Amino acid sequence: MKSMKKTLCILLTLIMCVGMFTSCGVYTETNTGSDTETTAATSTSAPTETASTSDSTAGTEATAAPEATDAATVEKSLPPMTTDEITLTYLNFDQDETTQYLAQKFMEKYPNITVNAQYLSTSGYNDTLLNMTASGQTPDAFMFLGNCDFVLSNQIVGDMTEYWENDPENDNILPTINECKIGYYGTDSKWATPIKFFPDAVYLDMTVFENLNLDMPDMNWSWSDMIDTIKAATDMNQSPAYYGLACYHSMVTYYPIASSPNVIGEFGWDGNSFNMDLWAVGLQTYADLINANYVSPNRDSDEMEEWMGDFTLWQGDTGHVAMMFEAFWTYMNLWNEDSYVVDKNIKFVPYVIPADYEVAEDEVWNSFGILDMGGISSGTEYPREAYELLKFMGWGVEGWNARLELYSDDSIVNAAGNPLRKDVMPAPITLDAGVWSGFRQMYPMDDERAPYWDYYFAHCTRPITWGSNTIPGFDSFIANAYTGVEQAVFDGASAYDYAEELTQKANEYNSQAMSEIFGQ
Amino acid sequence: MKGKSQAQLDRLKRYLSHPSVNKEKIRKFFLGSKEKNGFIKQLIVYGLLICIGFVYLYPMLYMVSKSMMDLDDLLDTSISWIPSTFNVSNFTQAATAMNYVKTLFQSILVAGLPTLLNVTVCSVIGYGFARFEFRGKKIMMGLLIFSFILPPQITMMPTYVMFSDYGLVGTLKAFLIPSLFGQGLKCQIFILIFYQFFRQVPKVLIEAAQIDGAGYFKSFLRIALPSAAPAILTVFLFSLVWYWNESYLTELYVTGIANKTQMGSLSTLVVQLKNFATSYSSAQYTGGVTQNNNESIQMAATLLSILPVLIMYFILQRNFVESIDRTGITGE
Amino acid sequence: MTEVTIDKAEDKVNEITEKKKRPRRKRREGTLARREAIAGYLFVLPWVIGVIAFLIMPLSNSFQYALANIKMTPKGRIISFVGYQNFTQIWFEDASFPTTIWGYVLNTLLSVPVIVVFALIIAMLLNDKIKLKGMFRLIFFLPVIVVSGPVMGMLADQGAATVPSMNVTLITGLLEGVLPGSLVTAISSLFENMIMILWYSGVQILIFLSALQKIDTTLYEAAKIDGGSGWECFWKITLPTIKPMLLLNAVYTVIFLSNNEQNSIIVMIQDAMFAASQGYGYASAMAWLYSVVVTLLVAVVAIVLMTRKDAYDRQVAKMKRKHRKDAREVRKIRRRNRRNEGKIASTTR
Repeated sequence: MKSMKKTLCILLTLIMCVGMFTSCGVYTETNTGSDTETTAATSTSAPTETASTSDSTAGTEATAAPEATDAATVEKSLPPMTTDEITLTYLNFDQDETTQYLAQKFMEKYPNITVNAQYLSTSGYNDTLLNMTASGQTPDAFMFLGNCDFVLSNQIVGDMTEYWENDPENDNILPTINECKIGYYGTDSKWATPIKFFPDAVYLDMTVFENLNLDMPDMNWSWSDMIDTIKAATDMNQSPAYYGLACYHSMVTYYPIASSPNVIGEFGWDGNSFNMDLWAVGLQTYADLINANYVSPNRDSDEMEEWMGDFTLWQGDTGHVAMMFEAFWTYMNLWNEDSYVVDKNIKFVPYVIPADYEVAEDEVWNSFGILDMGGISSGTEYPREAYELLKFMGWGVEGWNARLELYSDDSIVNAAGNPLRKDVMPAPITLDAGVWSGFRQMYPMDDERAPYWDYYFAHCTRPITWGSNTIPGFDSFIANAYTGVEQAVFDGASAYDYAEELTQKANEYNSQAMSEIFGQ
Repeated sequence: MKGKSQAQLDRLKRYLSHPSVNKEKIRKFFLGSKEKNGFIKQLIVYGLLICIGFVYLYPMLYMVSKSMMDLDDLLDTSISWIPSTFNVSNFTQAATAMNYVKTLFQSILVAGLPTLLNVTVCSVIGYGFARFEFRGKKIMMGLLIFSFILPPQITMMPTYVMFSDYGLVGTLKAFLIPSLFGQGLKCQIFILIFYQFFRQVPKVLIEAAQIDGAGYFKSFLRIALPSAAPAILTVFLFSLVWYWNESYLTELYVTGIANKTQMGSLSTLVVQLKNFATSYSSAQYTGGVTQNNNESIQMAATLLSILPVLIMYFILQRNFVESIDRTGITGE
Repeated sequence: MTEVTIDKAEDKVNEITEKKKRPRRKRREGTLARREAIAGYLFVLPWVIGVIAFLIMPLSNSFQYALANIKMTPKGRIISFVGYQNFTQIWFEDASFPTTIWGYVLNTLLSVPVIVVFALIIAMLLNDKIKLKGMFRLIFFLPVIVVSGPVMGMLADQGAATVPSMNVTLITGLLEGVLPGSLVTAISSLFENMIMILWYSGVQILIFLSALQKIDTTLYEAAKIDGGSGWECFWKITLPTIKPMLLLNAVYTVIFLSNNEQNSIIVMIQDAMFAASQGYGYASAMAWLYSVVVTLLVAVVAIVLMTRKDAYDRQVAKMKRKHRKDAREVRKIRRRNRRNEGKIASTTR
């Protein structure tokens, strides 16, 4: 109970911050526009701010969100929805049972709209989307897998600026989405937006720290604290040895984002150009850790066989790895199970990816997270309704309340018989306090682990995501100019030697893609 | 076989009755003679066969073993092969989730009908190529092989656009109509198999029938086709298996993405199988999550989805192997 | 067994003599030949229609795309023609394509013999007098059933398709001292994919086995009576007999390796399809270039395995050439005669 209150307070502060950020953002943005717009924007920012401040002082969660929204609706509103009988198609690689349920809920809310939600697995997903487009069957709303290039260059995604910027709900979402203009791709129009959010976490195994007689690091840690922890938690004298780190996501991705608040994309992307010097620091740090034997062997390797006596063992099963860079869903899919926590005594808790610059005590800093993107078709006859559907499936509060119903009900299962919350459950994109408190319930609440989760959820809300999703030309750069570089550095080359050439190339690929897509 | 083992037994008896085994005999026993393989050679042969056979069998064994384990067995590192209890709940669960009986019948329909068409049409075309001489035949054969070489990416999208223009997408017609014109899945191979086979049928036989007054088509039906039974079986099996295992094209063309949830759209077991893989298990996302706590059910579902073809293969395999001996894929 | 060879010999002789007779027969049976040709067209008609409807059309579309920049928008395709620009760009500006093609050719030329020889060895083992033959065959043809399906993918995901005790790094290290770099990577990738190679050679084994079973065992017995060793038998009897299968298998393997989804060029084409600066037109051009390369490769393999003909074939070819020459001569003379007749006619008129 105590921890819940704490979370709520943190969340409310967050909401306030968001309110401030977004309103300021709107202000500066519209400043360049006409005079009337500017006044509208300023008047918007005022009520939002006051509303959230008053809420946080009152400390009651129930009134917080609605009041803020009400205040905003006065100024910002969306055009009404159609009352005609229409059918909308939504193509996704989300979770089938979930989207079917959401589609049903959406149809209950808008009885005149029939929703045809199509789940497709990730293999061949983009091929199918392209095929459907080529044959004139583009879904009205859809997710796309990674690569933003093809949906932009083929003009599959439609402009949703009008709806996005006038939707009051969008003021209360993960702040980086609006601040970093995610989905604008360097233009003035909103083309795509995050549909699913998986914050990344650095998972630390409490048992390992106990066994090695180490203190858990401070939750508000720095980048160098993290490196020190990795080194301290490696103990080759034990049998089997303890390793400090195992990686799924890479430091190459983490470091540039952690290095500076100005970096808003992978590989040091600041909105205009890459800075591969930062990338080089990340890669070199990682390569040095590997070569100094701080990083555990991978599964399906002879080294793993030597270490744990089992060729196919996964690092997360060993109980001898102190820290893992793992995907968000791995915790709920696996580590939350009693078979880990109780039977194997593998007790992972999450830490936010640290920053390599000074952050204030209460400040939330940018960290890497996965944002799967989606958009509405440029050819849809009902863009307004498609937008509403996309919001419902992705970041909308109502959609998320429906999701929470599913996630908290263990009797609803996927094809394999697992409760849906164990099938790659995302985190909310909306900052709605009710949603977050419901979401928080699904993670450990015991005294030992709860503080870590509270702190983590309060600080993971400023995601910066894959370059592939947010930077045109990034995928081409990776496919054509990047192959083999990382391996060369692991084999002994210096990452810094590559930085200059790669910066130039990455920028080239980006500008080439930009000119191809937007004719700039 | 029986006679041979009897002979070996006799030889063994002789060895036993003559304790003074000479060096020559030992040498023969180990290294063999010109008539008989020696012990060492046999050891190598069986060793190789068993090793490679194990590599082939390993995934199947793995699948069977894992599909019977419950969660505790999966996580227990001391249990690697034999489950502690014989667990069928994974199978029942997978079967319910796949809607097994209904989907099975649909799979048979989706794989069976085009296969029947393939057999019929490819045999006619193969016969045409093998039996008759006509202008442009060589070019046509060249085109046939070239169309086999082409990477599928060249034609994938234009074909899809064309099919949807013709209104074929979302129905079984998307498989049936190309098959009707010898353009089904890997039809080139089937035509070549029939071509090679019919070339072996003595021309005299067919000409004799024609002298008796049978037309070209009649002589094909009465003389050539009945003698092509092995080729028909081979093509039938290959075609069925390939259609059965094709998930992407089935989903794209037959199930039809745009109207997937509508009633009456066809699905197959292999398409259903995709539901068991977590949505984030594609190459881009694989990480720790591949280690799944529903591995057992996934394996059970995989086993269930190929079980019908496996059973068919076990029943037909004798005929299958023998028929291959006689079909034309062997050339000549 | 000797009957077979005699039969064969007779066939060949018949063929030769038939050819001799042909010019005369042709004249007599002109209508029959025409009727047969028409029947032939009728039999292959469905395929011809199919090729026109389902192959030529998409192919010409795709060739059109290869010459253009295309955008597949929801409102329709936007095609702007750029001529051969895509092709020249792939060859001269895109550095990775030629190198990848080179790597692919090298890799394929290395893998094909390995797969084919391996399949041959297995087929010969299975053809030997062994116990439990039926069971072994059952197992060895299992991949034909399973490998094309989703099962392999699932199993590979679960790590069931890797061999624990294969030390590739050691092999690579050993080779690095002796061979050039590109060759070493090709060889080590061969070892890394050993299991996959094992799995994918089911069809080839099947084809070889069926060919081997056709060889009459009495041939070997006769050879052994004459003092031939197993080694000699293989080179003198087995290999010549299964030569057509060798070709078929090699071609099949090349095509299989080329159109495999894991093939690095297929991956490149796929990538290009979704890249903003390349797009579908560029990818089509790539796929076209690639299919030319594969065709060349198939041709090379075919030529290598086809050149050496046996005595009969050579004789047949010689006779054929002679007949053609004769026929030409005859025609020439006839034409000259006709011309002369014409001349005579015109002069007389």
